[in-house]
Amino acid sequence: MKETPYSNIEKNFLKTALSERKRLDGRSFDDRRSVRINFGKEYGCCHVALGDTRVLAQVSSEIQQPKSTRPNEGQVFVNVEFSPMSAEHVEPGKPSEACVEVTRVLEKCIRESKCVDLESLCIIAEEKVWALRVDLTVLNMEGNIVECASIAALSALAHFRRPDVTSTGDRLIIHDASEKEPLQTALHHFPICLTYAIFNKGKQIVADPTLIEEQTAEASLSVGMNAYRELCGLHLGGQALSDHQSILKIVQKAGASAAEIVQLIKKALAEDEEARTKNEVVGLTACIRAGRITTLCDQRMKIKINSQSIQEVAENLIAQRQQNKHTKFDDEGNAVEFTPSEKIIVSIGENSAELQDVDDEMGGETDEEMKEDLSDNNEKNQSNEEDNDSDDPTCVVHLPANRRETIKNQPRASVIQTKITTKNQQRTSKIEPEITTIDDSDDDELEVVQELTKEEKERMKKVETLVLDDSEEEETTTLTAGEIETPTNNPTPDSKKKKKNKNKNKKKGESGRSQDSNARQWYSKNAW
Amino acid sequence: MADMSGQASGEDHKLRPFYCELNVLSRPDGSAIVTQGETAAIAGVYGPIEVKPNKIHIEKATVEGIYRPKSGLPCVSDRLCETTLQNTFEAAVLTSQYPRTLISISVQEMQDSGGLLACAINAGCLALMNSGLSMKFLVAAVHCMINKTGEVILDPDNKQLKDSCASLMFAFDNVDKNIVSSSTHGRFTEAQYQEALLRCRTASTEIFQLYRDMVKKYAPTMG
Repeated sequence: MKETPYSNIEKNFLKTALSERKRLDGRSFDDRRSVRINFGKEYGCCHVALGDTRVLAQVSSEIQQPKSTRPNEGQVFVNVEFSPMSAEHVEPGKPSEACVEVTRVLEKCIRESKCVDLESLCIIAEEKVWALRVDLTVLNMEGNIVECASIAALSALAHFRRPDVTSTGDRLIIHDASEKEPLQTALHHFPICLTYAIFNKGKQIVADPTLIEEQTAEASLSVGMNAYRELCGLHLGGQALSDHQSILKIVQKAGASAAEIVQLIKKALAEDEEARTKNEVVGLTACIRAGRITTLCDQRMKIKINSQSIQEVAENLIAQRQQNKHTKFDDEGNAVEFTPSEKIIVSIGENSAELQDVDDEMGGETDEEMKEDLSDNNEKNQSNEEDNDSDDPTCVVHLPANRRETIKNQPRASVIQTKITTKNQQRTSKIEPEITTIDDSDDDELEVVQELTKEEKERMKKVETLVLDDSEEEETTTLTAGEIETPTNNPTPDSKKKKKNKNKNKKKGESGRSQDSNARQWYSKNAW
Repeated sequence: MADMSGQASGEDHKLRPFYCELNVLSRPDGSAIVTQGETAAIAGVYGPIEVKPNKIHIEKATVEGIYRPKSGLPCVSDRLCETTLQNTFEAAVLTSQYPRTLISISVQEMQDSGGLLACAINAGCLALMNSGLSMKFLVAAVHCMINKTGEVILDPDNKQLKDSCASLMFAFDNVDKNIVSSSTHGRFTEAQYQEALLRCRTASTEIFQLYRDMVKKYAPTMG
């Protein structure tokens, strides 16, 4: 089967995203995918997963005659094979062009950088030397095979033990692992092949490209780099770069990444060694992770949104709100500051509420239907309201002067608006002591407020991922007058609870909706 | 992941612990990694995909089994494994449902500690299940050996195999528990063969039970 190329639409989408400095999987340009290294039971066997790209490595050794030009040096061969399971277009048998290229890059990086101490592989000069063969099998192709394979090859070489040999003049005895401890291969350094994809003539350079990035890129540069920031190999695929500066920039970046990866390999090796000395179970069984179901899982999503940037934006917005500044995003995604209009949420019956301007509300008596809906509520709360107005100063204390008038003027004002701005801790704390003064005998009131604020806090956590903004989302809580009662009018605990729940529902419905729409708005403008 | 330490009576009746994970690879249509004791194999299935004109069957799908050793080029014994895999899966897959297509099942050796072929067949079957291709039946393979004293030992590891005079592998279907394929090495009598067959057949029910558990676990996400 032929390889399915990516369509122009997909490629253009990627290019546009990159020009906005965004990657499809949500990584930043210098981020690499996570590396997982598992060692097999046998020495020299290793399985490396770089994101979803997977490579299996196995090192084997045999005794050979050395090259006549290098009579006292052993040999290292690198063999890369794309397994037919790695992609649908890979045919068993003849190696593909890409496969040959990967082999060549790795040979350059590992063999020609002389990271393996070849002289230590010599048994008898000019006669017998060890030849190490590194077999790399690509199991899953999801981009950046070179890097994954180079990590696998180095981990496997460092893990490998060759049998000890003693020479008795005319005879050569190869000792079994049970007779003599096998010998480790001496590695001078770990040259890792780090790959970078170059877009738009070097304007965008991304580390650890995925499959689509690899196929869209104008060029890809593989840099062989060890932990000492020494350049061990350089391979440019695709069109030539426009300037030498990009190469220098890439090499600079590669240095830091190489050191990190080498550390990772050494850590994995040390862990394996420790497990072996403790006689624990070692082997590839660890590749199978308990209870993991990968179907449709988050990791497999090709397009992810960088939640970090969203979080930053959300934090900024929250910070602004605390200063009572608001940000709106216009059609081009630019942030515009504005002052919010005065809006309040008005209850219009059970489990329903409406958003109204303060001005509207004053003239809202024309709304006949609303009045009818409210009539039930009003009757119930009428007495409370009166009590509140006369006895209870708390209900009006937070309201601006004009709104206090509103309450007095119209029957609908039996619903008292107590504005609890979610982030404004001061305000809620102000309410608490006041309520306790109303009713010291009954702690429920305090609970009401506390629960509300707790709920708001929880919601705040959610808001970190969604984004709040805009005019309407002023978190106005409506407390019916019945909620804040006077000692003279104490409803039974049951009815109180009901009201509490009602109130919660109301709030959830209102703010949830506005959050949703706001978040959607935000995404559509910013999440390309 | 599922654990299956044999609960059957008797010490030598036990299969080694069986672990598996489905959908480990993102590219293939179905994939599975299986470890039986310290033997491990990974399998990936593509299908139904485009088939080459020289391999096309007009009335049914072409089933291709590929087996890869961990190091070096595939040798003759690996080719034999490949043929066994191909024949086993050709019987299991409902090929008439996918005419003029190719179903490619590739299995990669990851760690060999005895019973690799059985492990490969089990991995292949789980990968097929994961791919959602129609099958006539499921297959489960069990490996056993006959030691020098003539005893049958179920699912031996590398150490035990050093003491063997014959090793046998049977694959069964889950409908009638008939043999789908059998592969043997070494010398044994007819009675020993029958005994081994009987023991393996009993043990295969444990693997089928494990398949059931896997499907139960993955069914909500398999879609």
